Amino acid sequence: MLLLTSFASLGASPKAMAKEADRLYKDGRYREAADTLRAAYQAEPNPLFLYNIARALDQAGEVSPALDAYRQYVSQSSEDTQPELVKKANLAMDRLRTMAAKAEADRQVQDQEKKRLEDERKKADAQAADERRAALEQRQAYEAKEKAARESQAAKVNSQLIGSLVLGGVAVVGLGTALGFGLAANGTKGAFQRATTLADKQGLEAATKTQALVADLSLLVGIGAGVAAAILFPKGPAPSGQVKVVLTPIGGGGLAAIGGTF
Amino acid sequence: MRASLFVFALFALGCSFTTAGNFTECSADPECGPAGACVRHYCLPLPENCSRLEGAFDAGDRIPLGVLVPLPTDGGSNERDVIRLDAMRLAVSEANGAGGLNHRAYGLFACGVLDEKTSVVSATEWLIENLEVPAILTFGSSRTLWAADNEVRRDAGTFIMSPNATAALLVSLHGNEGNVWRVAPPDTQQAQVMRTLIGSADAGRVSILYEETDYGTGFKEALSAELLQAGFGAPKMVGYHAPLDPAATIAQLDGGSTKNTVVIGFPADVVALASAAATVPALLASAGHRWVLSDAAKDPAILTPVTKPVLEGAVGTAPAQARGVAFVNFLQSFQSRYGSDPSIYSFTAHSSDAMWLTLAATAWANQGGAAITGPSMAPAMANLASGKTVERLLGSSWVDLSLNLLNHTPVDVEGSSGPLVFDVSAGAPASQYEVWQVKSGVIVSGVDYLPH
Repeated sequence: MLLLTSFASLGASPKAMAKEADRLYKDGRYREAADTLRAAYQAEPNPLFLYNIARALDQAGEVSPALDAYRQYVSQSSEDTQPELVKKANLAMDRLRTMAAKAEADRQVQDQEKKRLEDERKKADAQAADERRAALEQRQAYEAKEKAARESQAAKVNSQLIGSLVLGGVAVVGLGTALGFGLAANGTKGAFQRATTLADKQGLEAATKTQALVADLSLLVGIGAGVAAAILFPKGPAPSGQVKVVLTPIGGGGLAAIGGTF
Repeated sequence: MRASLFVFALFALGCSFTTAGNFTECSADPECGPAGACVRHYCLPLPENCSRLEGAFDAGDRIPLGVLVPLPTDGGSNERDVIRLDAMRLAVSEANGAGGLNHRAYGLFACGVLDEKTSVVSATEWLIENLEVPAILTFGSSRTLWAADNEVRRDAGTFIMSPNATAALLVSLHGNEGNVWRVAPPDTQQAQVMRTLIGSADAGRVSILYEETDYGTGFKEALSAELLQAGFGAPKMVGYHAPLDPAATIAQLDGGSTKNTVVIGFPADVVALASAAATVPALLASAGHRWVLSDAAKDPAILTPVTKPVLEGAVGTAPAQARGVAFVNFLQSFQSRYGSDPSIYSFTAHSSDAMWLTLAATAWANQGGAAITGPSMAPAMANLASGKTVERLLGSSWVDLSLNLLNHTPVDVEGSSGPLVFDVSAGAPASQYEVWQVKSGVIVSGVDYLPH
């Protein structure tokens, strides 16, 4: 196009341009030769120029423009064309059409292959995504199961610990009560021995027996609770949660409260 | 931790199990020492002034009885109370010697009491609440009133028996509270005898010196009523109370006009008053004056070198000592055991009878092995009359008497003080009285009178 412009601007003659185009053609510069000839053809609509444009484009591999140029040439009136060139042009067009068809077929094959490959890629991508999702779900399920198992175990351990502490508390209270009432019974027994009236003797005997009975029952409860607490106390590492024993006063008297943090 | 718990548990164990048993301290009184009593397997220390007086105390099932013994604070001869108490001991001893009651022996506990309410109430309550005695014997009207008119006694229904309480108040107390029995009749009857002894209305003016106690006041009022009813003028009445001022008391008498001075009081008072009267010519026998003494004064202790001349010829009244087989037997047994004559004091035979009657009441209560309680003893007193069999209150008759009563068979009883037919509503039997006199410096028992 630059060459065409340059020749047109320089005012070169169509023959000169044809000669230049010939040189370019021989140099293998087919596209430039076609452009020069197109300029020459514009300057002088010589069908030969058009035929040569078609040949140059044909050599340049420009199949469709070449076909257009050949088709334009053969469509010229027979007075302006040469039969041998028309024949060659028709042969060239046949050849180019074949090539174009083959190229089109190749292109279609390539497009199909490309599409197949794309589909396969997409399928592979989808499968990979499915596999990743399944793996993720499996891992999440496993982790959830593991977490549930850990929580269950922790809950069990904490329950045992709480139970053990409660029983331990009962044991302490029971033994404390047993000690208190035992000492009280001992003191009352002493008072009984020192009593000087029948009413005091009878009252203190009854009181001593009552206190001793309470002491004995408390002792049994205390020992039982202590043994149970020892059995129930969880073995192994401490659970993740924490259990705290808190002594806190409440209205109406003191109580031991057991709470847990998990 | 576990070792500590174990030691802790053992400690508590030792504190309780070892104290829950071993409450049986005794099975009989001697196991509780010389000053203790075994009650319901408990050893109880006897209070001060209390002791195991008479009985088989080494028997674990002995039947406990109590007696309130006057402590010698009234100036009277302690021997008088000792002899009366000995009369009771003799009865217990003879009953136990005859096998006791249903193979159970009696145990007589004695508590000395002052002549004040606190002392009597304290001893009474202790005997009832601790020894669980079903019956208490008491001496004197005031002590009997204090012992009987007591909430603890009332709640327990304890059987009260007195050989010599004669205050008229006891009749109403027995009527209201029940179970307050006396062997001697009430002073209203003695007042009749004393009025007869004083004579007719022309015997001269009568003055009455009386101790301001239930006994003295009650007797004074009964005698005053008798005198007025018999046409005497209103007697001059002079009360006194401890501490006695004998001169001031005697000074209140109208020495010139009084021909009979009645003294309702105890030997110490009589001695003091007679000593003070020794300096008042109008009160001497030579001036036509006569001393008339009540039953409480029948005691050789009233005759001192100072009082003998004053009291020579004095007369007195007292519930009669019986003259029957029971009295003779009692006299012999008493003298054999204690070596003294019980008849020189008033109420010794009554003391013996008081104890025998109490034992008889326990037999009635014990029918079928039933518990002997005060309330269950009371019905016996209504069944000691109208029986076909006469039983004497003697050791030798105890087996028959107790068997009859155990079978709830009514019997008539004759005691050392005479036949004992109880007026159940009054709580005392009708009884004869004797007139006694100071003659040649001694007390001489005389004629018996039956009140009208």
